[in-house]
Amino acid sequence: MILCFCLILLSFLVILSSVIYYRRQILQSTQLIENYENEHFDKHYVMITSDSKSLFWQNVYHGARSRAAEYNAYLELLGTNLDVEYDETELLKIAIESQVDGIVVEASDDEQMVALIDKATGTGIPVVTVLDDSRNSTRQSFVGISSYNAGHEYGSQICEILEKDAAEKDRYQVIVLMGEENYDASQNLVYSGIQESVEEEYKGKASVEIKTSLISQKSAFAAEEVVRDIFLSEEQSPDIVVCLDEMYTTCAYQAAIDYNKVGKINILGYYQSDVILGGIAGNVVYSTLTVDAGRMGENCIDALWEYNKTGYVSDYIAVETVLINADNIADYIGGEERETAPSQSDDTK
Amino acid sequence: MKQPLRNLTIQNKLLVVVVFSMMVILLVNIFLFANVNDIVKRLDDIYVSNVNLNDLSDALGSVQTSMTQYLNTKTSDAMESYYKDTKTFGTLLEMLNDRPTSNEPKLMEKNIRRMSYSYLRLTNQAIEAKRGRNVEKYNRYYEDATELYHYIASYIYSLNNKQFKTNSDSYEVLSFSLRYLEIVSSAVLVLVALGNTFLIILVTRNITNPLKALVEVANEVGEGNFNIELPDVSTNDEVGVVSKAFNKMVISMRSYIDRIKQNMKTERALKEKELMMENHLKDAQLKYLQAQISPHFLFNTLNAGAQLAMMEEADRTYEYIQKAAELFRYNMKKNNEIVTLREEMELVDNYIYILNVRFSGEIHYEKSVESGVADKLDRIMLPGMILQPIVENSVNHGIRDISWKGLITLHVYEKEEHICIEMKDNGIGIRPEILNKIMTGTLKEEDLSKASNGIGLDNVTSRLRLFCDREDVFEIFSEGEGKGTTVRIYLPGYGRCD
Repeated sequence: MILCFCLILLSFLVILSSVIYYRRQILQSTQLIENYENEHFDKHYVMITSDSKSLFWQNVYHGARSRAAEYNAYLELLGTNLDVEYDETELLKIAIESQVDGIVVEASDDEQMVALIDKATGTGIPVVTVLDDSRNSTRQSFVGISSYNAGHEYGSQICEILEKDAAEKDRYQVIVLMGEENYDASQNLVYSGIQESVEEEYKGKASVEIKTSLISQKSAFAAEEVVRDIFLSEEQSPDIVVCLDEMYTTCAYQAAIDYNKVGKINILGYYQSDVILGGIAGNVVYSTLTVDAGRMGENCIDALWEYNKTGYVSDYIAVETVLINADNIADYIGGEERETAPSQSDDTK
Repeated sequence: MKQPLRNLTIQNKLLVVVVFSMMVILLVNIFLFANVNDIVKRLDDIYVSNVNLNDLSDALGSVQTSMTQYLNTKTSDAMESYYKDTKTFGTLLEMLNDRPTSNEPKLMEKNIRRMSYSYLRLTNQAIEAKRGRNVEKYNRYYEDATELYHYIASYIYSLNNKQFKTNSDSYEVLSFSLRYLEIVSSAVLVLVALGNTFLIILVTRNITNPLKALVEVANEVGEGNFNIELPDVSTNDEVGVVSKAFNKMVISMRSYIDRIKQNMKTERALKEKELMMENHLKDAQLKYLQAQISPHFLFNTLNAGAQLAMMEEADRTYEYIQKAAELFRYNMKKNNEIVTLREEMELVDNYIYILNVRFSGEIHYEKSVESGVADKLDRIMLPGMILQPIVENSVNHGIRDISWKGLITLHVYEKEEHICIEMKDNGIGIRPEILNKIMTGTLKEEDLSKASNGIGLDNVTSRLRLFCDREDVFEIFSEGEGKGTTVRIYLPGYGRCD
């Protein structure tokens, strides 16, 4: 009798667990169909950037998205879910025709871009430019670092390197790597800032030549090619390379190692990826200028929200820059891990 | 479950088990069918989104084509198909999401929907401009619409891909679930079947066990063993009812047998008592008779009387007293001994002589012995005092009160290796009922002892039967009243002549 009850109980348990497992399987399939979360919002904002996959822009996006959620708005990083690659102007057109409630765009002074921003604001869509401005457009606000100040920061770093240099050359060469499309805009201000700063601060005897090297963002793999040329040119090998982009910094870091230029060419980087921070820790990269990307994203959404609410917003919202070098790298190696953790998990979704 | 089952009849027990088993199997099947249906429905639903998006893409293409055609040809057919396609496309657009959401495909639907409305506005404007022959405007609208068309097509394509990927994943999971369900359902059915078999075994054992116990006890009872432990009846079904009835039957049989035993005991005791009483009575009668007169004294007295008669030369008196003395002597001597037939016959002669003296020669006596038997008379043995009581009966009950001449005949002959002694009188005979009583031995003794010398027919037949060790040794018959009585004694072989 007891055996009978045990058998019945066992059978019951087996059946129950099988059924529970089965229901979970079905639920899983349902979840796949319904595709993750399905939360509804009041507003739909979009963000358009030149390189949505870079860590910097991912951090900006996640900061902005979290802030948007606080205002019951959803921020879409436009273009990431399309199988066709569109540039910023095309994405901007899509955003305008999709009649979104607000646009955050990494802009430029390009005519087409200005026209589109004007069209957007004309149809009642507020536009906030981020990092790179489109000063001639009717955009509502610009959130970014002060390029001029950034230039001065880089200039100071250049002076520091030159003064430390033991070789005591007569002539030093500095190359600033810039995006071709943004040449007229903020990066030019950075360049001016560098020049000004070096002229004011450098007290040495040698002459300092500051040149720019433009990298087209439209052509693929251009950055790596340009950096390779710079590092391999024997007669014109620069002493300092200033990178105004996260990707250029990574390329320069890799080139310095590959072509055995560590110590010969000093790299001044931009933003803080794991690779860049590792470069500083390993004395391959001299220093890097970074911003709080998440904060920058939050500022963009704040600006859009304020405009939606009041009809007015500050024309320029500054985000402070921070210099990371060998002195304070220890603070960032730990901090970076914490900061990138969410973005990595989101990437894997 | 067990307790309520005990109170059910076998029919209901079987019904409960069968219905229960069927219900379980039915429920399992319903569950399995429901799940299979669910999966099939889900599988059907999976690619519905792709089908819808393909329809949308086709409708968008049709609008673009018909618009281009109209701009090219300006025919009313093209216009008509443009409006038709626009309507179809608009209907399909209505189904798309229009709310901001974190759900990526839904958000893409929103963008597609909004862009499509802008696109339709542009196509309408292009058509209007064409109608208004504004070449510059319709060209510009056409270019803008075409650019937007590409964006929308690309969006639909991307969304379609995305959903196809998701759907494929879902399909994979569902397909796995279906296979899993197959295994689970097979296992569940096997388990349920096993469980049902077990249940049926339990219930049938519940039915057959009491039957087996009953059969065992019935066999014991059949072999005559009533002192057994009766089966314990705990169920109320048919077997329980039969078992209870059987137990009751065994108990009443036991008490009936006890009662019979008790009765037999009592009866035996009563019979013993009766026999003893009869014995005592006989004993008393004998003692009384013996006490009446001392035979030796009587015999001596008679002898003295005979001698006196001889001296006085009274010969007849001498003979009479002499024969009476012989009779008494015989009587005293041979009462319980084995004697020869001759001695018995002489005693009958003497007895008849004495009676004839008493009754003045009223009784005629004839004696005949078959020639073959005459010389064996000394060898034929029989118990003493057998013939005399029969003659006495014939005299007393047969010929004493008749008006005609009384005759007693004694005839001895051999018949079928038997010696037959036949005594016949021509007296009043015996009524059939009395005759019957004499033959069965139920005639009360007091009816006979009134005038006899103490030895009745019953005594005669009993002694003869004992002597010969067989029953058909004595017979008496009478043809009716006034027709006389015949008594026959059969001595097997030559009696105890050897």
